[in-house]
Amino acid sequence: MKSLDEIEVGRKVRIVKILGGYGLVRRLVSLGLTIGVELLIINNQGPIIIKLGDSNIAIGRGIARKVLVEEII
Amino acid sequence: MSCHQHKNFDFLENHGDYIIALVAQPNAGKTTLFNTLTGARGYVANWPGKTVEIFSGTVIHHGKKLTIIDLPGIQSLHTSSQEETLTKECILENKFDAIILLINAESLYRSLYFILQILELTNKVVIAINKFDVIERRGFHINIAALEAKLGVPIVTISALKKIGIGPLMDRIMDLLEKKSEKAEKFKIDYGSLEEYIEYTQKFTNDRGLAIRALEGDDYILETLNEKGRNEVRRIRKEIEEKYGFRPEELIAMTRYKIIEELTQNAIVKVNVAGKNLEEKIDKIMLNNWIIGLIISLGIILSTLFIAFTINTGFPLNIIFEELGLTELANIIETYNLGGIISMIFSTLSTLTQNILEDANIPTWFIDLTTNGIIAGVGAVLSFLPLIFMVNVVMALIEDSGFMARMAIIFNKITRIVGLTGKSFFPVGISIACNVPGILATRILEDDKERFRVIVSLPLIICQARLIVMIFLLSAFFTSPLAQTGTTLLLYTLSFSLFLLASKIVTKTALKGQEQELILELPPYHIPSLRVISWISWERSKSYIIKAGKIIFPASIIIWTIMHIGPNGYTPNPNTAFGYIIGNFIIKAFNPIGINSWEIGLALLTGILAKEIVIETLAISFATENPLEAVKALHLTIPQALSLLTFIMLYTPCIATIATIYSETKSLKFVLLNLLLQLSIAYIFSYIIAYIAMLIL
Repeated sequence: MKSLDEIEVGRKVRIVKILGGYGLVRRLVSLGLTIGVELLIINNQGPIIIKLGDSNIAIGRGIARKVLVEEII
Repeated sequence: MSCHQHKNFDFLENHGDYIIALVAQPNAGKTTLFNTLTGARGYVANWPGKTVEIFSGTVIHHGKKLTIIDLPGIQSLHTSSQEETLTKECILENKFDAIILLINAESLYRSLYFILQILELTNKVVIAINKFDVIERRGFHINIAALEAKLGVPIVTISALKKIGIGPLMDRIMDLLEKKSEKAEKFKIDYGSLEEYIEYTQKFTNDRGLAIRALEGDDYILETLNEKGRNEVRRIRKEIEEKYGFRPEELIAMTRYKIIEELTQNAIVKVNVAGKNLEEKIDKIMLNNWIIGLIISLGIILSTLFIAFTINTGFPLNIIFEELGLTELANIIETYNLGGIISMIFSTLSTLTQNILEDANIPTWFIDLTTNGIIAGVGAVLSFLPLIFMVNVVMALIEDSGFMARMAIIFNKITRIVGLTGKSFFPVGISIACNVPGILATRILEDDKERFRVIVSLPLIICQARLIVMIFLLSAFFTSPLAQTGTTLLLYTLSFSLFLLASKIVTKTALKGQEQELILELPPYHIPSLRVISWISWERSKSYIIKAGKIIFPASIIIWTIMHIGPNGYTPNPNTAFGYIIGNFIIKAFNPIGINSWEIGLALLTGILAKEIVIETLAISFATENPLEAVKALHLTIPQALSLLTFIMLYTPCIATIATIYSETKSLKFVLLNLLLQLSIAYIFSYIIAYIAMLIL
């Protein structure tokens, strides 16, 4: 299990756990980021940019560190 | 305190037969749809007890009058900001006759989550999928009939911009209102093992949708329960987490996303679009190398501001032409820019009024007050309108094209240092032109605390009015263009650094709290639409006139009084007016560095009305038509001149800005905090600059 900020560009991952408090979970869920969701990492410089479904989302590194993911082959 | 049955919509005059709420996520095109529906004849009402402004407008459809309420954009039902909470409460309390749920087809996947949340609470909904044409062009096809069958509410595809599908949308709403299509059952998701808990919670909430929200830990719903219910729900939430290893809100979200997965698989088809996506290409350039991204962003902002400045005041293009030897062209631009034309109109109006009043044998003081006080004051506000409008156009272009979100990511690297998210660059960029729309633009910041931090420090950014004063004073103080340019750059650098410093100071002191981290959706790039741009910019500019007008009118009368009334009554000579006494008192603060002229003290006071008035006051005080002569008559040394210039650039913002800080925060505390912060920063730095200059020169 790695955190989202450690994943290379181009890799697909699935969210396994969110280490944040209540407020963070809510903010992420409202953008579609919750346990079991699959994402594609498209940029990992500064804020992480991920592709989820048909939208791109930028996530600050501090938040990305709290999102634990597993890589999908 | 929030949304209630029709009687509480009394603040909306004559709300007609039905009240319809327009609900949407940000970027869905809500403003466009609202304007298309109501013909842009909406008006602003202040929601009772809240600082949130909402728009409402009316539509007549098949002889019935419908009031459309434009609720603030809302990301989901998990939200915290004041505007969003209002929308959420309105939906939860379910008090509208119907809801138009506007969805952006470009982000259908994420929007479906929002749709499910709302459909669990109410079925008085018509879903309008906007920008349908855009995604079809990209190769997506949505099977509307399949979605409708699954969700159980009417769905209409529209293009709010091109006015496609508006008729059918209204027809479906009327069907719903006249109960032709209402179903008794609300949308129901099978939550599997959570079902027994939902059923139990329903005993306290009396509604399945509210029970689910209570299990999700929604504070608003929990507040409405009685003591016993609240404790029970809290106990169940803990029980679920212990039993399944996940919080209930996570389990609920997972189930909803599973449904969404099924829905999209069945109802959405993507046809391959040939070639590589342009969006990916632009994003590669913008986001892969931070320095390049920064240069492009600054380039876009500066070049668009350059155009806006030139159209409004001719500056800086007139200077460039002048340097190139094209003096005539420079003169034309200087005279025939929007700002110039407006001042011409007002000076003509002023002369005309003077002539008429003189013929009518009206006392001199009254003529003076009307022409030099009121007409000149109103002219001062209006001469800024083209600038504010242009800047709003420029920023709306950046916003609507999709560049703004990318720039927020790029600037995040800088703003993060002082605990702000990259989104705060947007109000800063606007403030370079004018602080008033800059402060209004802070509305894009999600977190209220971050927003107030930015608002309080924002007026340290040098606006165009101050730039005009700067250029003028520099040309009076220095002859070398190098010294002029150098000082300009120095002052701008100082201004931006002090903005960052001030935000850091308030973050650590008066507005303590968690520093926000950036999280935002990147909208697809698209060519901005003129219709949307003009609506956004007009809306924002209009609020400037109304807010500024309320303050500037009385303020110009007060300033005229100070300049023309003395211990012996009316006097045309400021030397014998109260202004002399006040100016002498203010300038005492600068006596230690040898600045003694009462004229400057008075100019600092009147500069609070609008910064350009600094120059005018100096001219009037020296009773000369040429302000340059007035500045030279001050006989300032270079350190004194630099010190004064620094102070003028940084001290108390103008009255329009102060009024906007108040209207946006509804708090006198923040106004005082800003005044205190800026006065002390300006005072300290004017002394530092003076002493450094004295050491060097």
